[in-house]
Amino acid sequence: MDLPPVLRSEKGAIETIRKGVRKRNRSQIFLQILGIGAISFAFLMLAILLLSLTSTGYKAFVQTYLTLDVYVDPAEVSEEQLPRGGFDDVIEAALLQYFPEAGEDRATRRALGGLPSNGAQFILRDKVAADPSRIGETIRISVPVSDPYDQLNKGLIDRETPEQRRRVDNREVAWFDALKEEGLIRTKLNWGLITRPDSRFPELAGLKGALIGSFWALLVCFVISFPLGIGAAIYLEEFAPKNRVSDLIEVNINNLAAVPSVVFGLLALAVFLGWFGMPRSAPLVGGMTLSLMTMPTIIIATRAALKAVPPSIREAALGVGASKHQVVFGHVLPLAFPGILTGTIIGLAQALGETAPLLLIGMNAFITSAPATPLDASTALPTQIFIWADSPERGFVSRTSAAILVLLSFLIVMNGLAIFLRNKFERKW
Amino acid sequence: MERYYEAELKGIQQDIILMAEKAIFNTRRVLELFEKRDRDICRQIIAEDEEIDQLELKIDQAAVQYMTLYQPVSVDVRLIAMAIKTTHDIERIGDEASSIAKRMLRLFERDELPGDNRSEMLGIPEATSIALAMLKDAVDAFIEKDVAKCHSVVDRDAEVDSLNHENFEGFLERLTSERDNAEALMELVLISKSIERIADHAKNIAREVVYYVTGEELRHSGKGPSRSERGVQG
Amino acid sequence: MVTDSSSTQPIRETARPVHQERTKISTHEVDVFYGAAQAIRKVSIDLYEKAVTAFIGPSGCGKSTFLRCLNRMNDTIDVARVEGTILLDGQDIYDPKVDPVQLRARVGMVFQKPNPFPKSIYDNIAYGPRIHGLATRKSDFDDIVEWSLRKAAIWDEVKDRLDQPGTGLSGGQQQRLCIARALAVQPEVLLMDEPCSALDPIATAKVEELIAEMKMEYTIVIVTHNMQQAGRVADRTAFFYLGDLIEYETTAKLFMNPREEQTEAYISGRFG
Repeated sequence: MDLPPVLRSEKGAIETIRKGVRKRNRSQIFLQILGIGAISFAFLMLAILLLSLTSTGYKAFVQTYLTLDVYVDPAEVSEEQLPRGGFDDVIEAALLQYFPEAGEDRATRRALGGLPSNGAQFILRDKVAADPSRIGETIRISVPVSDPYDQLNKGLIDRETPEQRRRVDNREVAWFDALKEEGLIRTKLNWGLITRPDSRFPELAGLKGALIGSFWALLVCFVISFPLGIGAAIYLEEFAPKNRVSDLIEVNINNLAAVPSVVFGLLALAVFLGWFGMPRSAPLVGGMTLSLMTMPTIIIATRAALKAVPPSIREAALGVGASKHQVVFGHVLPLAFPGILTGTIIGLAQALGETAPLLLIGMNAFITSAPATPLDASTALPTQIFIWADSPERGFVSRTSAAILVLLSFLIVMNGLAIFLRNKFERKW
Repeated sequence: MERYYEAELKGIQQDIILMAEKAIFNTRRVLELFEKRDRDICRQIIAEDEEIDQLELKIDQAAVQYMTLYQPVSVDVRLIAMAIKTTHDIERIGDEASSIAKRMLRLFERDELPGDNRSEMLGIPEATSIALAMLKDAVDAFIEKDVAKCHSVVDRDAEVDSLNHENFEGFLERLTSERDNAEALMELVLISKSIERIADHAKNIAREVVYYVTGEELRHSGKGPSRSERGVQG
Repeated sequence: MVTDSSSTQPIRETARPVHQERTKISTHEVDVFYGAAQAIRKVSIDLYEKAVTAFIGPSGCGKSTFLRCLNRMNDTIDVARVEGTILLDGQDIYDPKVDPVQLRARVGMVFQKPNPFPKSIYDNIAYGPRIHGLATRKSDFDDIVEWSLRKAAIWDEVKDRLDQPGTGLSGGQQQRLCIARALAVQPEVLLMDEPCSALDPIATAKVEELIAEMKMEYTIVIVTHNMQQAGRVADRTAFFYLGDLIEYETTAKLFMNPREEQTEAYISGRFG
């Protein structure tokens, strides 16, 4: 056949192609630049977020402590009436040793007494309660200083600011500096951030309640959604007849995964709390609510993992005479398990970060003790962040960032685990 | 659908035909030789046989190569099998023609061909014409894939056989009266035998064509071609 | 074309005598539908015991589909429907009384792609006997595993690494492992769906040799795209085209002198 006229030229096709190649290369480079730009922008935003979080949050990971030798005065504290003892007076007295002049007038004495955290008296009380024989002895205690002094120590309060606009006046700064010179002020790693429950006072507030609350909620969520999700997925994928009904169910499960979480919160509020009268703020209810959201994720992930098991394995098992359930439970499910686990972990990580439904069932209450059981009122990590972000005290600003960092690190660990499992067990067919 | 390597198979087919045409040509020259008694024709026949031998080598090689490379089946493998067997038969025809030419040459050389009237050769020329016709028909049958023609070739072999027998008897008879001509008569007996061989090879070719076309094996089957089949075939 | 088949001696049968041929599987007018589409039309064929039968034909001609009817593997496909009768030793395998699980133990299958379980070589073999309860003691399993691997001519290659995953073997070894796995449940019939299409020529030769050996004891049905392979291993060959069984003959006859023009065109590559 003759060459079509369009291809007949003196230079031949290669010249045209060469011209075209230049154009194609240009558009390829343009696309590459666009892609690199998009990724860089995303990374920049992430970096800014992490930077601002760490720059404000890192200060919450350390805490200013005051070391005091306290004489537990039997006149103030008696073994019989420990809870009502005047521990604050005892601490005040200990401070007055260093600043005798402050004892003269009542207002100054009160101001000096506000230097250690309000929680100092409880720390002392717990110590004495643990060993009542120490009444009448001098005990060395290390207590957090109250928030304004903590801020001062961390440089968050600028000494150059005019006194009227400062949260600590010159006299208080002088006390603090004097104590620092005595070597009584020390900056220590703030384990209280994770070992203490929430508190009205930033220097005492910790995430223990939120962490345990989140743990219970996730446990409940896992216990409910994992078996149910896998069971539903296995039935739909392996056993259900392929007809309109199963199609409808499939579409609805996919839609369920896309329902805004606040809707699930409302549902839980109406059903779990309203109809069943379950306790408010309980991690049990939180977990049940979260499982509503996690289950579709697990179902979808499990079905995808089951589908990914090659038909040749099913055929192999059927070919030697395995029955349907032997094929599914003996071959397909074990092979799909890494995928299922990965999907589950990612689903749980999503649940861990979920806030809105928990707010609606009251998991944003102010609770100063960690929940002992899933039925006790509690907060969760994201709701705790929500509470702290809402608090007016300056000290909570850095705590909020620190809490976000804690939450993020949990999420990173969980996602990392998912990636690890996938890489370790994923099979190439 | 024409296969992209069809040309190789066609090439083999055409070479077989070419080779067969050369054998036909030589057989015709033999017949001519019997009439004209020309030494040049003898030499030409002997020279031509060389070409037939070369073609046999070429076709056999191509056939083996085709089998190795294309693993033919069915009618293709039958063609290849036929090619290898047929070239052998054609080559033998060439050899027989050449040996007739050599014997004739010897007779001329010693001037021993008794007399110059045709009758002295008895039925040899007639047998030769029949063998030539058989050979031509066998090749035509190959080209036309005509099974009926093949059967007619096979049938005619008997005529040549009986002519050869008659020749043998005739020459034997003359041997008693023409003792001086004994050597020449022996040569003539052998020439007659050669013609009979040519007809045999033509019959073989015809049988091979039947195998190629139908897959039926006529050799050693203990049954000759049945008349009833002829009309239907082709 | 008139052919008198008695004059064409099937060479294969004189070279390798087939003793006392008995029909193992007999099908009568089998139709297979995938939804509305008909994949197999009225196929009637007798498959003989202790012989190799090859199914050949272009892709999509239904040969694999038909093969999968013989151990009811098509049951697992929702839309597939089989009509007609398939008799195994005279018993209808689609009879409601026949359990497909039990049937598949009698009619084993080897697939196109070697598909060992991602388990140890030992467990690959022991799986079938275990689910069918053929053995309970460890020593009995050991015996079955060795017997099967020896039957499949792979024992010497794997005897020192029975605890290693079957997926770590080469393609050809994997396929022989799959054959051993099928043999472990003591089948009578072995269906092979293009067992060598993923293998190199050496591995293919080994599997073919194995087929020739197994033929002494088993009824083998093999689907193959490779006509030379059918020629090498099969006693009889069936040619399928567009869901129809076009021609079923001794292999030598089918390849040297097919009856049907469609067969001729297909086997000689003049197809299309």
